[in-house]
Order: sequence, then C-alpha cells, then structure tokens
Amino acid sequence: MSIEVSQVNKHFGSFQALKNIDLKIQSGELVALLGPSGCGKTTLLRIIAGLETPDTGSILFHGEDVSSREVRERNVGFVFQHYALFRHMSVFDNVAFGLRMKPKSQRPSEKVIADKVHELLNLVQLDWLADRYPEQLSGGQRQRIALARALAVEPKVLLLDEPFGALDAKVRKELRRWLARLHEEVHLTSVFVTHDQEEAMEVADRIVVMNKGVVEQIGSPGEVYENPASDFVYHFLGDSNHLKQGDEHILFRPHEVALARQAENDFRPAEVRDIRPLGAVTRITLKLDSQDEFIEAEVIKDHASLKGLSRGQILYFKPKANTPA
Amino acid sequence: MSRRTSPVIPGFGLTLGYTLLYLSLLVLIPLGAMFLKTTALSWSEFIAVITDTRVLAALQLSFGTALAAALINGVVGTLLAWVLVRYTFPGRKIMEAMIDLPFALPTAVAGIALTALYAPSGLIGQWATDLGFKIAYTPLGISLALTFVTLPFVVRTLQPVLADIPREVEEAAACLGANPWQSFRYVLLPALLPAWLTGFALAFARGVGEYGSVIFIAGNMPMKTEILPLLIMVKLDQYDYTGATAIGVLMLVVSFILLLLINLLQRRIATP
Repeated sequence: MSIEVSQVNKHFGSFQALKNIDLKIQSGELVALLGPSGCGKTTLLRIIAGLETPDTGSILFHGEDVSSREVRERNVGFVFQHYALFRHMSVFDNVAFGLRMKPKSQRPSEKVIADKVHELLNLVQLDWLADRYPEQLSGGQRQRIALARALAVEPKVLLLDEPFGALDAKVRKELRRWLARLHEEVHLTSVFVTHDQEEAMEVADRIVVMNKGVVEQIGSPGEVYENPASDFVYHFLGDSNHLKQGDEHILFRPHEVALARQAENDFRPAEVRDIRPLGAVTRITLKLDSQDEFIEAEVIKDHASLKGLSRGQILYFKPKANTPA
Repeated sequence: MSRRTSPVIPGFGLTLGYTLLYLSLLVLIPLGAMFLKTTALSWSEFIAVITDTRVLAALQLSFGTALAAALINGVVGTLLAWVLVRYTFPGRKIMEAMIDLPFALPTAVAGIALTALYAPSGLIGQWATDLGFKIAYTPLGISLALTFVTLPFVVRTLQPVLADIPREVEEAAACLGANPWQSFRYVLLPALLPAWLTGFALAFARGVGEYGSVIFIAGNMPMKTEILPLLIMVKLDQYDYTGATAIGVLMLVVSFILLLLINLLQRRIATP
C-alpha cells in the first residue's frame, strides 16, 4: 500500500511543526524519517497514523484519501518508542488484543487467534515468552512483542516511532538488522522515525531528511550521503570537518583524509591531540595553527602513518575529496 | 530478603519494633480494651444486644448508606480524577485544592450546611419536595452526607495511578482497532482497578464510622434513620457502657470482614 502525504501543515500553538510537507512512499518500501529532535518527524508519523490531525493537507493510502478517518479505521500498525505494552496482560494477550477487539462478525475464533499469535511470536522469535508479562522482559524483547502486536491485525502500513531509541547500543544494532530482514520477509510498507543517521543508513530503502518542519532531501542512503542537497544534510549524515583555505571553507568527512608522517605536496602539518582506536578504524584529532576548530581523521587501524604515533607529534594531512561550503 | 542488600531505612528489627509499638498504642490496645469490656456480657446477653431489631436496622442503614456513598464516589471520583489528570483548564488548581476540603471541614459544619440545603424547605430540598420526595431526614440524605465526607478517597488514590498510565497505551489500543469503550474496559480499567478498590474500601470504611455530619441530616428516627454510631451514643447516654461496646465490637467485626474481602479481591486482581 503506497502512502502519499500532500501539502501537510501543522501548528502547535504558534510553533509550526510541519511546513508544506509532500511525500510519496511506494508500496513495500522501508522509509526512514531522519532529523534532529524537534524537526517534526514524529509529528509527521503521527499524522500519517491518524493520532494527530494536520491543520491543512491530506493523507492518501493507495490513492484513497484517509484524512477524515479515525486511527482505528486506518488499519496501521504503530510501534511506540516506549513499547506501550499493556502491563496487566500476558505477552500472548497483548498480541491477541487487536484480534479480540474486532467486531463480533469479523472476530476469529479463539483457536484461530491462538494460532495467529503463536505464528507471530515465532516470527519475532519469542514464542517461549507467551505466558510472561511485559515487565519480565528486556527492552529488546518488549519492542519485538510490540511489533508482533502491531502486525497481528494485518495492517496495511507499519509505522515505527524511534523503535530502538530506548534500547542500549548493542541491542539497538541487532534489532535494526533484524527489522531490515523482517521487512524483506513481510514486505509491508513501513515508515520509521529516527534521529540516528547510522540507523537510517543501515535499515532504510530511502531516507527523508527533515529539519525545522521541512523536508531537506529525499533519497536512497547512498544519494543523501554522497550528494547532500544542503549543508544541513551534509552535517547531519555524518561527522564533518571544516577547513579554512584562504577565504574559502571546505567540508570533508573524517575518512576522506590522507595522512603522512613526512611533509608531502599539498599536505599540511598539524599537531596530534588525540588518538582513539575505534575498532577497525582509528580516529586522530588534529590541531592546526591556522584555525581553532579541530580536524578529525579516520584511517584504518594499521595505517602506516600511525606506527609509533603519540600525542603532541606533528602529522601531515590532506583532504582527499571535498565539498566547497 | 537478603541481609546483604541495604535498604534506605536501616534496621529491620528497629523499624518493625517501632511499627508494632505504634500500632499497639494507637490501634490494638484501645480495640482490645473494647473487646475486654464486652466480655462483661455473657454470650447470650451479647447476642441479645446485637440482634435487637433496632440495632439490626441501624446496622443495615449504616452499611447500606456507606456502600451507596462509596459506590457513588467510585463513579464520580473516577470522573473527577480523570478530568484533573487528563485535562488542563482554567481553575484546575483551585478544583484540585477543593477536593480535599471535605477532610478539612468539621464534619458537623458539613452536616448542618447540607441539612440547610436539602431540608424540605431548603434551597435544593424544595425542588425535591415539588417532585414528591425528601432528601434530608431519609437514608438518601445520609448517603449524601457520606458521599461528601468520603469524596477525596477515590480521587486521591486514583490520581497518581492515572497519571502513571502513559497516553501511548490508549493510542496503541486505538491503533489496534479498539473503540473508546473497549480501550476503557480492557486497557484502562484493569490498570485502575486495584487502586480504585483501595479508594472504595477507604471511603466505605470511613462512611461506616462517620458520625458528625450524619446526625444533623439523618433526623435520627429509630428503625428508620438511626445510624449505628448514633446508637452507640444513645447507649452511652443511658450509661449502658457494655451495650455500647457490644455494638462497637459488632461494627468492628463486620467492617474487618468486609475490608479483608476487598483486600483479598484486590490481591487477586493485582497479581495476574
């Protein structure tokens, strides 16, 4: 089911949360709404779900205007940052909730519900937890249960609001890879909100970069990273260095730096302020005489220039690629 | 519990000892003395006192009106708590402060004020008269006074629990296709019920023992609008101290059994 957002505006009091948002999401796509906090991404997601009403504009599901429909009639699966599981219900009852709330004429029998719930719990690999209560589960498990619960009513679109935001770094990484795989299996049109650019790059088919209530750029992870439409997008999608060259500034990413121990053509000297091994790469913080802002360089950990390097030494660097600012 | 974990308040022995002493001085010794005093009566005399038709009528009235008041507050108090927690509106803080007033006001003042309003000639009572029924000097009036006095219990026990239920939970229910009634019935109500029962039990217990506000509005006609605490006062006026304590014991036992039942029910709900 495709989603179309057209000319959506939303104010909270005098604050304009969304300005003229237009967005088309293809059927089966996994799209990330990416931006800093307060950029309107969650508001947009909630408007798509029907949890919030836009001041102007409309939402179309598969070409059909659903703007006037209430949340429960939109048939969306929504996953909340803090899970929003029903505390007094077992995992099984949580997942079964949506099916049990159906009008009598459409409600499946308890047998069918049980089969469906176990099928979904198997899908999220937590069938063994069916009789537990939410507070007995870890954060990652709770979020997978919340996902199973949302999928139980066979929604036409799946909306996830910072689904991994409350989890610790390792679980977050596991879970987002798992979500990407799950999406390949069920192929449900999905939109998720995140402020973590790494998460968006890793999971999404397309990324919608938002800032201050407007869409800055829409594109595949490669496109937005390689061809950022604005400085904001450039800065937001990764660490960046700012280097003064005469009257001009250039921007480049930490990995786009060549390092050398000896002076070479076009290379500039800088003092080593910090050396941070980060696993596969090592990050060097460099200080130039000509500017206050530090330059950060990331090179593979066994790079020749790192051998025996210590703080305070002089290193020569050159931006490999750059974008004029 | 492991001895190794160090709780905020140290010394299990010390705190338990203090609690027991406190409970003994304030609750157990006075109540024990009452039971002791009752033993001056023989068993058959005791039965005779508590099965007196006037006592039984008062017993039914006291517990009946207290139950009615607790139920009314169970509904209205829930609504009030809901409004205070979920909405912001001008005057909310004042309303919030007003909730506790029934506790601060001398109950006799409340009783007199309510009687003045709801008596057949009173501001509101005259409408009732026009419609052909009476409020003051009937069980209805007693329930009204008890409802006033016990208003804060349900509101105050529900408020923190309601505030603790994230709105997302209701939104999740709506996304899953639940209509507002289903959200309330299957999501909110089960979460609120244990606290609601606590508020209900407190209101009920307080209502059974209430004296000051009721005697003004009740009319105090034996067999009709005479509550048990008043009957105790009547016995005391007649220097029938053992008779008075016998009724006291009766009230205590009935209240204890009811509160115990509510507690058991609550435990069953709270541990799913």
